Amino acid sequence: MDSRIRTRLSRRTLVGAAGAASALALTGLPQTSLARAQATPYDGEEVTITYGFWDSAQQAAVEAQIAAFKAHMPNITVEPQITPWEDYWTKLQTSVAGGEAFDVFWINSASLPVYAASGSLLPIDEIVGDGGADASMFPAPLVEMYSYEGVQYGLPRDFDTIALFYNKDLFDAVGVEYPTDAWTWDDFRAAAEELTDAENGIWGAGLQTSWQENYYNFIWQNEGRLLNDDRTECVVNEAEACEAFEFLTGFFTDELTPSIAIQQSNPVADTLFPAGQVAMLTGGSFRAGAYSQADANIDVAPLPQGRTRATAIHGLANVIWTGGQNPGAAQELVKFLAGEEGERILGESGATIPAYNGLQDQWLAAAPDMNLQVFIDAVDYSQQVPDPEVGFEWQIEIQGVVIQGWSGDIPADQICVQAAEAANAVL
Amino acid sequence: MSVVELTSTTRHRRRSFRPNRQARNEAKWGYLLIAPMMIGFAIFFLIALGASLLLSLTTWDMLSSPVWVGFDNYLNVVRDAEFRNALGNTVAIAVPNVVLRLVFSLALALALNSNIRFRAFYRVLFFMPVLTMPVAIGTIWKWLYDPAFGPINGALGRLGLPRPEWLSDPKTAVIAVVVVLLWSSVGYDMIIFLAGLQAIPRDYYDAAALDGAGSWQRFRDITVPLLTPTTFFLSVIGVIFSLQVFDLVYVMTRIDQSNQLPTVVYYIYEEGFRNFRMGYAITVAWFLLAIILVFTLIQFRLQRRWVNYT
Repeated sequence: MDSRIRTRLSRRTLVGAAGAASALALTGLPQTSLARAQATPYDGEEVTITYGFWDSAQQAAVEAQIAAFKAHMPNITVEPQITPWEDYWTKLQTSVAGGEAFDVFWINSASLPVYAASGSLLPIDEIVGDGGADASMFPAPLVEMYSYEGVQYGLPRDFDTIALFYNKDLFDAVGVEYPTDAWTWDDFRAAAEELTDAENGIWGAGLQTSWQENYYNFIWQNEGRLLNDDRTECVVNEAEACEAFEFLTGFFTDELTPSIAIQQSNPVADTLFPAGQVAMLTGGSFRAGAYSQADANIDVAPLPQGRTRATAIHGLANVIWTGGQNPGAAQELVKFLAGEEGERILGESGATIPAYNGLQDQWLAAAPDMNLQVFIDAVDYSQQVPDPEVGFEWQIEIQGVVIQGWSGDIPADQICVQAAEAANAVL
Repeated sequence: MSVVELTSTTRHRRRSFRPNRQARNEAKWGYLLIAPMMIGFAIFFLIALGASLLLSLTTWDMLSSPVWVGFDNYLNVVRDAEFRNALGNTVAIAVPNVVLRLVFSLALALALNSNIRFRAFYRVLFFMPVLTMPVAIGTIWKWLYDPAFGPINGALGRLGLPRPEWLSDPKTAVIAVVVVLLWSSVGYDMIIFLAGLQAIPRDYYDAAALDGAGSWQRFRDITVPLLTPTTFFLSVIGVIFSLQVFDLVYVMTRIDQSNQLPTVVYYIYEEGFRNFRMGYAITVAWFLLAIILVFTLIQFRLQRRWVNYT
């Protein structure tokens, strides 16, 4: 190639082309606005839509729901697309940006504000009401989770609360009484000490790094708060929350729970507890299905109480992407999933508690050996994680400090102070 | 290309009365033939590069339109303590990695260049990790490093030595990650060094031996200087790859949503894909590019003093 041509190309033409092209690329980005998106109703055409979710434990239930939906709407084919939790949000974010997202997908309450504010979600008020989905059939706090600035974007499909799973065999071996609903923090701590058997590799308690299944519950039980009432500032440095962190840190310093280092490669809820190496675990109702199948002899009791009772409640929702080709068909699917039949299938699978009022018994029946009623009763004293508009980065910041503290790198009484600082830096 | 040149020269002789038109024709063919490559280059490289430069001047959550913020992102990176921490971790991994990688791979290459038995078998053996997926490597090594149940601490315990919590303590995690990086990359450097060794004519060694040079002298005065171009190449790409470490720390040192040993690329991933700050993440990426460029330029500048091209 002539060197004169190459010089000219690289110096002028290419730079100019790159500039023009990137300007094009910028203006070509999805220009979504908050203006209310509308969907044309489904007209009976033959279409295929995708349904994105993350939990492989619920795959069978989701496929059963899709089959039942197909019986009603034979011309709509729903393609289930499972993406593991670790990659789900990255995939969702990039696929929405790239204009290739799922037509209908699971969302959690922490992610709702980001997607709703950017206009990526279709409001569902068109399908709620006459002949459509009935919002009054769901617990009001869960419905409220999926409204943003007064607009409803989804209805809850399920809910989960937290309770105390325990391994009966390990309790029997040491002769400790099973946990009761009268248990206090002190009872929990005393039992953990008795059950811990370092020589045989048994830990009395399993305290996960999960905020939802672990420390938020204890903060609330001690009448502490996560955020101030305006949701603008993290206040876990208040005395109540600090006490809760110190109480939990004691389990790590006294080796009553697997250390952070051990949990790093052995997630306590997935491996050590069902393998019978941990006697008690604070865990979510979504784990009950797997534990009822585990070899270990597992039952469940309410969380021990502090100054008060408290448990974290959360529920997922099905939402519709505004960029889909067939929003009408997507609406039909969401309507079905939020109906009695769709929710009943979910309950019968035993994978998760259906949010639809009156269907919780279906879930209880799926694991009759366990006292799953405690999860339903816990709704009465449940609390929601407050969701400011900035997503859940602040919660990850808190977790980073908590993990350092439980690893022994931060003094117990400084965890709450540094956690609040870290969270406030991003709030 | 050569076919075009041939035909155009024959035409040139026949139609020498119209040289301008002929030259234009030749240029047209030239452009046409490089077009597929240039179009690909433009689409997949230049446009992306230009777009990323523009996006670094915005805040962008990937969901709504980017908002222009000028050079705010660049100023924020300079002040960002988390970025400095990530950069510190990256350098702490990169420096021992680059140095030890060269030492070990040269030692291996020398050993496997001699006439030992099963030479080909050993070469394949040491090269295998290079062909293995980094995520698989990270997962396996994470088990090996397990503080309670892993074989490494099991062996240390039986010898009565302390059993570190390898991956959750940033200090030991650096060592753990460097070991895995070395394990997975010396095979590549070894092959390049082997090629370099085999390019050194045997006569040099024979002549030196005749003159009474011992094996250490031959290594120091023949092997080392004649391998300097290879060493230079490997140290340049070693620095570039080490500064971009991501997959191993993603797999090995993460606990739940937190990472005790974030590197720069991990920080870019976190900011862009978890915290919805793509504009900022891109800015950090440009900083990383600048850092790599500076290191590489320094290396090219220094090579004049020690690299020996014969």
